[in-house]
Amino acid sequence: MSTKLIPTIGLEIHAELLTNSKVFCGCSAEFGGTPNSRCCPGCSAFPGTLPVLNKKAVELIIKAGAVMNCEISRLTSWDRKNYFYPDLPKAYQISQLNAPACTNGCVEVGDLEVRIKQIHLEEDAGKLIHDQSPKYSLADYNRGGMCLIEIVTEPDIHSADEACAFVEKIRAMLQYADVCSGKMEQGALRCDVNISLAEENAPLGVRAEIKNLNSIRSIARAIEYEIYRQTEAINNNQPLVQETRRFNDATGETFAMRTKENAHDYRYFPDPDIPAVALTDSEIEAIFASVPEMPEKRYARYTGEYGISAHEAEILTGNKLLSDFFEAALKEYDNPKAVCAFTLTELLRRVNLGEIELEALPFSAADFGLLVKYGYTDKINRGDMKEVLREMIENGGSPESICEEKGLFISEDLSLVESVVDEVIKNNPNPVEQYRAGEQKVFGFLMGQASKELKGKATPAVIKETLERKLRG
Amino acid sequence: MLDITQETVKSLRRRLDRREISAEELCSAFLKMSQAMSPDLNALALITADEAHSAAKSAQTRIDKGESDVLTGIPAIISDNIMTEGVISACGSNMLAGFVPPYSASAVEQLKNAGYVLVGKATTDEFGLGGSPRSGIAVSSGFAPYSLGTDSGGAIRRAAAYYGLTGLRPTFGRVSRYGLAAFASSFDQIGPIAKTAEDCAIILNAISARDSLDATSFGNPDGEDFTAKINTGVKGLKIAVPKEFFGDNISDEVKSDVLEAAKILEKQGAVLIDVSVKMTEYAAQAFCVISSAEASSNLARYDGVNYGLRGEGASYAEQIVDSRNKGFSSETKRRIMFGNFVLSGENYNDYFVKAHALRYKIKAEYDEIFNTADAILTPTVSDLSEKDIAAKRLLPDFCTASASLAGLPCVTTTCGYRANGLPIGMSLTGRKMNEATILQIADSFERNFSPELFEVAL
Repeated sequence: MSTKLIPTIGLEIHAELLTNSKVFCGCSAEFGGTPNSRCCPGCSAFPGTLPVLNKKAVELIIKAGAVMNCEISRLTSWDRKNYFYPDLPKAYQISQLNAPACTNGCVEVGDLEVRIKQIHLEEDAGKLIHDQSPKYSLADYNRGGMCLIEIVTEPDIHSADEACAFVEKIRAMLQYADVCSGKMEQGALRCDVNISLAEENAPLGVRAEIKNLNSIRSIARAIEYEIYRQTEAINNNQPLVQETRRFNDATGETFAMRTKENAHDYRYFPDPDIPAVALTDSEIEAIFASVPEMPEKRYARYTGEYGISAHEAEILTGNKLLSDFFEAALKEYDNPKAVCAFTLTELLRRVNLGEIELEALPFSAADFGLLVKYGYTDKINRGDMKEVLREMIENGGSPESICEEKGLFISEDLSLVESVVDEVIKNNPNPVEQYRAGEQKVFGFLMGQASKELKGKATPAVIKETLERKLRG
Repeated sequence: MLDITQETVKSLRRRLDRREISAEELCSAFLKMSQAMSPDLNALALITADEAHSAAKSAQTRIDKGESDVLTGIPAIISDNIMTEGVISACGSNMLAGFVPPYSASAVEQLKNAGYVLVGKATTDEFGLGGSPRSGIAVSSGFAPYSLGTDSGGAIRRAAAYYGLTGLRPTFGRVSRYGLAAFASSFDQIGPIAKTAEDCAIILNAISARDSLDATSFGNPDGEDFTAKINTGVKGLKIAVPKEFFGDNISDEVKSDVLEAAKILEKQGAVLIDVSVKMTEYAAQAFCVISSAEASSNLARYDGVNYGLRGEGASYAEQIVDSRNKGFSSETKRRIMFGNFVLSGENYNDYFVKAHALRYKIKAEYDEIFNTADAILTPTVSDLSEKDIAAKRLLPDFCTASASLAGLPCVTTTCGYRANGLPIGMSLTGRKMNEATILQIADSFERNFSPELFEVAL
């Protein structure tokens, strides 16, 4: 017999901060690079080197705390977490145990309210590469010492969907606040999932921690697999153990890594090399004031002031780059509905096709806005906008020069329209007769003839109006 | 003419400036002593003759141009746990045998800028853990007029006491720790070992600076000249004498000589005050707990992965065990084990937290005394027989640990000799950032006790 089991989920989200240099040395914090080209005696833990805190990292974690409605510690300090691993040259990770920078926050996702237990700062480890030889592993320390924040939630989440929506929301907020790039594919945002199952109102069940999930999809799949696995175990009276598990992307299953019984004693103690940072109220206020508008505010503005549909506003604000692009294009042409429509159809279509990337568009938002303006103010035919955009993507150039070159600008020469329409009527006596006899559908044919001749020289509205007038005689 | 290898920095400076001797001659004289005697004394890990000659040559050019600094052309020995760029800095450990750092300690960098002449690296206990007084040998034997040593629980001060020298442990943060291979981070300080307090002041002037590479360093924010109070006597200065340092834990010889020194200072115009520092008996234990904890973490980086000795093994775990087994001495391993023990989940509160509480108590007691006193006078070593030390379970840094725990400056100078002729040292602990006053007192005493050091032959 199976009972109704409710999953309880808490998350630990690791986000790499958008600092120029690493958290405790001056090495570049850019992603990638030739292996071990971004390390120094400091992040390689040579004898006598010392960590010096990157002040920018403190500013960014407080920004993260601000957007997640946290309390900010006036005095924040650093602790050593000691363990041996070849990706950690000092054999301890500098982290925050006793005085994390941010505590007691709260993030709303729709109707769900997720409490944030704490956000603390720590350094990332290097990367080990195991697949180059069966005899040895390689170590790349470029990532070692990068600034990382860990966002720890209370166990307020109860499904894979909720977890994904929450992570998406956190990612967007961190992007908006310029705290983290949110690029999960580069490991800039990673997630550990703590999950247990229990009957409603019963004490929490035995928890498993699934480590290092680096896409929204794998978070969902891992949670769903765990719900299945733990449900099976409980229903079959098999004991569950508290353990750390990994998710296998290929099989969609999780597997045990180590049990908590063998858990490390990390021998935490205050790091004597890094003085605690005392922050004044005015310093904290200044950082709070520097936090830009968050997605929900933009969403409200888009759906309210701009009159954009909820669905469209959600897509636009779901990605900060897209939303920023949209707003920059509006500066050129203040017609939100028109710019939104072309953005969501043509621009996103080409992004999704992989022809262009939002991070590196081959044209400016201003040019994009100008193109929409041409189409919506009858400078060119709306049907030609796609072609101009394709040209802008493939060969570059401004909308102005492309329209000029291709002769797409609509001429304001009404006498030309008159003469072309006269010509069409003269050359097609039969359809004209039919139309005048009340057969309306031949109008399309005549309209087509005139439009062909006037391509790019007149708007369909002008041609239609002239043709109708002349046909009436 | 005196043997120049027995002269002070101050005196050698005069000779160089008056062209009585060249930097190269000076360098050769000290190198000759080093090469002749170091092997027997096991005092130097390395003699850097080639580097020394070329540094002396550039120093002389600088002197000739009239651009010399106070330490230009003066030879020095640097302890081997202080990094010297391009010169082996093995920290007395198998783990770092042959290790050549691509950077220098910030203090060394400043000596370099001043045009110093590096004669060699002084042997040290593995990573400075044992706190042995070894770095004194080089100076007392005439390998250089001064050396830079490191003091966590008292090594510089003990070096001065054992070898009849003057050694200064600066206020924690006065000298950058960058490039000093960490033993106990919250205690480690680089400081000078020389023949006089005046020389220590000259060297402190050169090496104290705020360093962007050491977040705990504050350097010399007031641009103070530490020699300013040299040769100004001690009139009116209040010197506290804590009774806990003159009980059964100290040999009679040491006690009577230090108290005798106090009387001499009193005669020179100082005012003696009797005080009590109740936590003294716990100081060395607290130091032992905290320093071992920090050492266990600081020495964890020596895993043979990126540099240093790499052991063998089929897995990472086997390899790191082998590396550390072969790389560390048994004493170092004991300290690491003890450090891990006091940091472990079940012992943390009983040891580490309590030791920290003691540290703050001792600091508070010292602060209280400094409300009235200018310095605290104590012996430097207890000098009991090995049997007594074992019976009393005394730790070697009984006399020196308190200043280390409180982060205060402390200078040791010679105040007498035992019946067997070996020197006896006394220590003067000062207020935070007030090295000038303790150096002033030590200097005043030295001018009376060792006048020959202040005579410069013309």
